[in-house]
Amino acid sequence: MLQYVLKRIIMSIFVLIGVSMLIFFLLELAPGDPALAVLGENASPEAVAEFHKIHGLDDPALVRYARYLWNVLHGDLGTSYSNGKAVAGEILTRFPTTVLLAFLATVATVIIGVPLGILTAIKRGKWVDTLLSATAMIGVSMPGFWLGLMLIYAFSLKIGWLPASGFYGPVYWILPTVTMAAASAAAVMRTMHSSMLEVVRQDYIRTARAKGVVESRIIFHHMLRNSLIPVITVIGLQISLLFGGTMVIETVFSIPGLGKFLVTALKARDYPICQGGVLLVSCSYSIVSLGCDLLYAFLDPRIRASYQGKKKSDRKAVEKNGK
Amino acid sequence: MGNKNSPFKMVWRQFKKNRLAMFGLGLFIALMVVALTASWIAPYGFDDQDVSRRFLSPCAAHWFGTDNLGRDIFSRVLHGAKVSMSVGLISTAVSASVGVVLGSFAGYFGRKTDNIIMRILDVFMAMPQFLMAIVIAAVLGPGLINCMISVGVSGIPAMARVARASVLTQSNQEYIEAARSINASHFRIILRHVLLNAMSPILVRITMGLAGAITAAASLSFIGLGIQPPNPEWGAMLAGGREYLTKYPWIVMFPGIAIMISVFAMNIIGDGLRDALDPRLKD
Repeated sequence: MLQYVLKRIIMSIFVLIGVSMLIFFLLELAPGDPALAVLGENASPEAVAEFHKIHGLDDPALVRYARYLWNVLHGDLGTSYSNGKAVAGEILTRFPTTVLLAFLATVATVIIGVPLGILTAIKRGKWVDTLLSATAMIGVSMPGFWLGLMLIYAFSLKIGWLPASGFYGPVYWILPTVTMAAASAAAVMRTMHSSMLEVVRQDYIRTARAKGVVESRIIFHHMLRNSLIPVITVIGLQISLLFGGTMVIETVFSIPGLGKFLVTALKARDYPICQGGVLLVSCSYSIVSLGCDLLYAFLDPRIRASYQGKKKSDRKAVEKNGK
Repeated sequence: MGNKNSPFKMVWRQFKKNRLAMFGLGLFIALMVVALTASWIAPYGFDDQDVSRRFLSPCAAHWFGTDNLGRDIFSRVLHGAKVSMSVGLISTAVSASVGVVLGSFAGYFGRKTDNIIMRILDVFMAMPQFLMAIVIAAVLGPGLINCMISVGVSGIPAMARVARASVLTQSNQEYIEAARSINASHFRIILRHVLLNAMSPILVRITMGLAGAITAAASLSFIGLGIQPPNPEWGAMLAGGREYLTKYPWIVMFPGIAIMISVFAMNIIGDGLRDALDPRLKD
């Protein structure tokens, strides 16, 4: 198990180096001179030359990338083009806001999605199921930024219960969290629903029923645990969507987080900020997906066993059987 | 493929039974018709400004009201269908074609090819898909074509992954071995044998991808990195109407409903298709 985790972490480091390379050269492809974008179209040639000198833009791309990577590995993400501050500080001060937002949205997603999925699966075909499933279908289809604007209109501008923008305390958290969680919760609910229905048909459920296990125990002990694996996959996927969604939702609610900051930096062509921000988001995302994989092992002894096999051939055999 | 039991007809027969999915298909066809005929059926042009008729609330002459420049929102939403549907379809076509080729190569050839392709895609997958789209859109600059490219490219890894997994289950089958033993070329085996049998999950992914692409394109335009005004893209319309939300909410409301309806249609088609293609899920 430990070996597996270590292997995954080392893999992630290589992937993240790949990400840094991808982002660096993607931004390199953008036409035009970032100096002009930052200093303005009418900047004097001297100012542009000075800007190039400060940020080392006159070297070939490969040299600059090598220098960038070297600095990143030493914890230096460079300095912002627009205000000359250290990128690490700039993104790290905004990152907690985004993490909090994504975390709240994830919690809301799980709290809403999982129980409703179980409920609709148990009450299959009843009106509760029909109503909730239809709502979920609409929920998945709603664009988050539009839902956000409609919620602002209803709850801030008309009723005046909740603030429309900012992120200063729990009252401010409600609308963005609901906005972000709506679609994810719907997706999680749908997966939970179908996963439960899949499990209902298994032999061990029939066995449990036959030996007279109480229904509630069947639902929570036998069914729930076995149907969680696909749900965790979807939750992991939703967290990735949530991280992407923060860019838009932070713009809608004027939340001073990393997402909004990144969008602004991308528009202003402040490349060091973009590179650092993307790297940080990818890094957190790879931590989340590692967490998901470890959760599988925690929930399913069959998967756990496959990591404990000493020989590689054993592991492969187990993986095959698992599928 | 003309006989009664061809796989496509069997799937279609299953699909037809699903009323919700048929409703989605109807919606999709209606949207396509609107998109193709917008110039004729819309009562006004998408950029017909009339300053004397600004901010009219929904009425008989302007079903969805008018916006800050006095443009008819109903007409703009209809014209927007053309933009959004074409962005959705073309970007999905981009991600599907490249993704399926990469995925089926990785799945079919395995070993080194698989390793190289998948490790590269791992890097792309390490970023949330929408972040990828934003970065590409920022690099390319705003505009219709660039929006299609950025949404399309960001969808490639997910598509490739689905295609690879599906192809992988087929490439060890006996009929592939049979095809190889009669000296069929790799190209022919992939195209005629493997892909045809591995199509189901890919088709479902394409339908769902279309829904995602429409939302992604609208989101890009909303944050100002996609399609620019006065082009009547739904996301761009939302962004434009945002500052008037307090007094004139209809400017924001109707384009959003349009996005929702088209995404909804694609989602229920995808659901129906999945059920029709996978006999295991049926009760």
